[in-house]
Amino acid sequence: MVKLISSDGETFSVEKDVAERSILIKNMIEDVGDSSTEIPIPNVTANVLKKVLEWCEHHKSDPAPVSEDDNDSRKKSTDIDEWDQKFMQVDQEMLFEIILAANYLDIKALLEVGCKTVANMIKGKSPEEIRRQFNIQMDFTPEEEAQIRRENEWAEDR
Amino acid sequence: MKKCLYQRYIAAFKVGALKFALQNAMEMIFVDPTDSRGYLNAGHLYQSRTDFAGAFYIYSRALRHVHTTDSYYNILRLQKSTCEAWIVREETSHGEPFVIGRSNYVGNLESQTEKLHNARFFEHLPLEIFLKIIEYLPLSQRFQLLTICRTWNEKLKNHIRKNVYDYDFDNFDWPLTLSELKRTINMSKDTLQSITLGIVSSLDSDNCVQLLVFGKHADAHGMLDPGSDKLKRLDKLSSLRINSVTRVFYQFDFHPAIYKWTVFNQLRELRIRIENSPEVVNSLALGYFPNINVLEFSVGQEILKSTNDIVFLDPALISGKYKPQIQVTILRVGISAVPNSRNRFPYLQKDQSVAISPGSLQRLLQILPNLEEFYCININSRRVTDNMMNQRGTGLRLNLRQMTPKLRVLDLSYSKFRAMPLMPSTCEVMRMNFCGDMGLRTCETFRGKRYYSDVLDSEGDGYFLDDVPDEYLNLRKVSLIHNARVTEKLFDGLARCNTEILTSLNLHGCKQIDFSQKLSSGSDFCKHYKRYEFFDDPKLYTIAELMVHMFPNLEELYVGCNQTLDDSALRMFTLFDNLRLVEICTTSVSAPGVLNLLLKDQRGTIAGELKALFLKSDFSEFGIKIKNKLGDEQNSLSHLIVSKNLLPPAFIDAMADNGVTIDTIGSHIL
Repeated sequence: MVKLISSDGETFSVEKDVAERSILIKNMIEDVGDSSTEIPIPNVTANVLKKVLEWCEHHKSDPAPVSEDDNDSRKKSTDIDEWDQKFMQVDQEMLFEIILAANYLDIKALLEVGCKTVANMIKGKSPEEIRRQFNIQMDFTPEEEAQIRRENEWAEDR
Repeated sequence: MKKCLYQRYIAAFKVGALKFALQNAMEMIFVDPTDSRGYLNAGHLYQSRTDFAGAFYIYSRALRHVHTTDSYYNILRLQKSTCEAWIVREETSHGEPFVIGRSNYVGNLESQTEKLHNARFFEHLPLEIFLKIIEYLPLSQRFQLLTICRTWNEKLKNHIRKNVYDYDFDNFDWPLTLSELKRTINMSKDTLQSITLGIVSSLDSDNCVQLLVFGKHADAHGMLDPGSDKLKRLDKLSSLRINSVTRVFYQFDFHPAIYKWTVFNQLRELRIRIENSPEVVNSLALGYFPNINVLEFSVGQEILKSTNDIVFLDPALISGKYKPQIQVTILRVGISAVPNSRNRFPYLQKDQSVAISPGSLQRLLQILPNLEEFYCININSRRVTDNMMNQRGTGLRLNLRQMTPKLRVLDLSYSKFRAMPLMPSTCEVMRMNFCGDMGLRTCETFRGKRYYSDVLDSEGDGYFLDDVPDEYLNLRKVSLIHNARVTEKLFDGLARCNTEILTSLNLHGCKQIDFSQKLSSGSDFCKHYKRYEFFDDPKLYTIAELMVHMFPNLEELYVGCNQTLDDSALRMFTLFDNLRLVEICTTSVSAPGVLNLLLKDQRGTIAGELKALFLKSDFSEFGIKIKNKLGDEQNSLSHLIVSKNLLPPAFIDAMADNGVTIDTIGSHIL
């Protein structure tokens, strides 16, 4: 068992292989050499950490991710498996907190699921719909917007 | 044709299938550019989506093509100016754009109660994560994001053009326009490797295809100027998929002497609709695709086309110029040749098929001697062959052994052939799902009957040989879903495989098999059976017992949709040592029987994957039992495919709690 302390001081006891879904924690445990010490997670609050550990628990027996070749041309699919989809049905604030935590804790697969979830919220929507989705204020003047569009027009002879 | 499209439009519009409605409207325009109704319908759809620019474009186009005497001409003109007014209004309004009928499209936005403030999270999101998210979006949308707000623009503007390999226009609900294609290509011309054009055809489809193929599009007269310079815009593009109907391939000659550059020189993969394929095959045979490895001529299931004959390499036109194209290794022909990755249960019947004569297939295969994988899905070759039978008194059989000696995968699912192709001994995977009674051939079936092959194969190899001993010897996977052969013939054929190598056998829906019965005396199985080390006559064994003896190394077994499969058959199956996956969709097994197979109590191993559709109600406690029994087993059940509607929720929950991946499918499958 590994003890994790969230930023707001709450202690979580989890199995070592669950905690080690996080590369950050895994490295820390290795560094310390003693898995019984308490590991502080200063960037993640208890409610987010709880959620992240729930994910780790469910995915603890997943095979280790194969290292991704950056030049890989394969299609970026936004398919998410059913459990993860359900898991990600949280409010936007939590969703972004999970993504940030996954990034900090270095849990690649969870980060990927989070990014896909956000991408699916954007995909196929008009700019106006996206602004509404994320409550973003449109702060361009029409002239500026037209300018941006022009800049990205097809240049015939480049 | 037009009437039919119009009816389909009306129907689709009424049920709210607007994408499909638009598609039909576009096809109406495509079929007859002077027909005002197509434009009106398409324009109306764009308008109802508040896409006034799109509608404006449609109406402008209409006014160029529709005759001024047309009764709708004035309406079209009126609509065009209305759209113009809307566009002006939209452009000048600072706040919310004007909204008409938007509720159809926007879904659940209003129910989003959690509000963030001024993109706070996107502001705090590290750039690399933002970019990671963006990577999952289609390219044209990434461009759109620059106009969302200042924060996004600043974050993204220097990065959005990098690292784009693949652009899939098929994600779009609406037809692609030329300017959008140009814009997106321009953004990533240095990295783009793959492009897919969507199935929704539009007035711009032809121009888009021309742009991709020749690096430019036709002028106002529909002509491509072969003399002017071509720009190598997409140096890295290697995969092109065109799902829309296009006339480009009929209108232009791709000869390299005329067009110094076409994208065909660099393509490694080309996937186009089957309606466009004869012309492309001609170009292929003339050597214009020097680097192509993967060819696909298909249509999606979404559009069910009529069954006009497709003729490849019409001998009357350019015979004698064909050259073998050794670079092609994978060929897919037919409806939905690529299985949908989401549909993991491949047991749906399909009615539509494309008619391709065996002569056409043979001419195509003759120029592809290095073919390793041949998928021929939903092809009706029987009707045409039957005509030939009438004329010449014989039928044509594909001699793959001679034409494609390196073939490893043969898939003839849903297809209708007059006779089984002769396979090379290199074949490892064979699928003949939904092929009626065609299947693994027994030698005797065709003995003495004379077949010949038409066109290119005149060496006399078109005869069925009395026996081809090694034909099936390397088969590892055999799939015969819903095969209607009589059990004896089926097993006689299977007996010709090297059953030590055979690891995957799919007999889903082979309802004629009775697992509790024995082979009848009508079987020639004994002749082939000598290879198996039985101590008794094989006809003393039930089919279930026989299978255990015949296929000792089976890892995957599909025997669902068969009411004769019962607990005693399942008990036999526990004798398979290596079974990882078993599919038993049936009502005739009981929970303890399945549990017994899964846990294999005495033998200590557990099948890792179960595909099962249980229709009975006594499975309510099954999940709990599994959970209790599995405990900490290392090699536990990991994957279960079930029908959600038919199982008690407690069961599904229990399985999910146990870490079992559950795929649910509709109950209509059976």
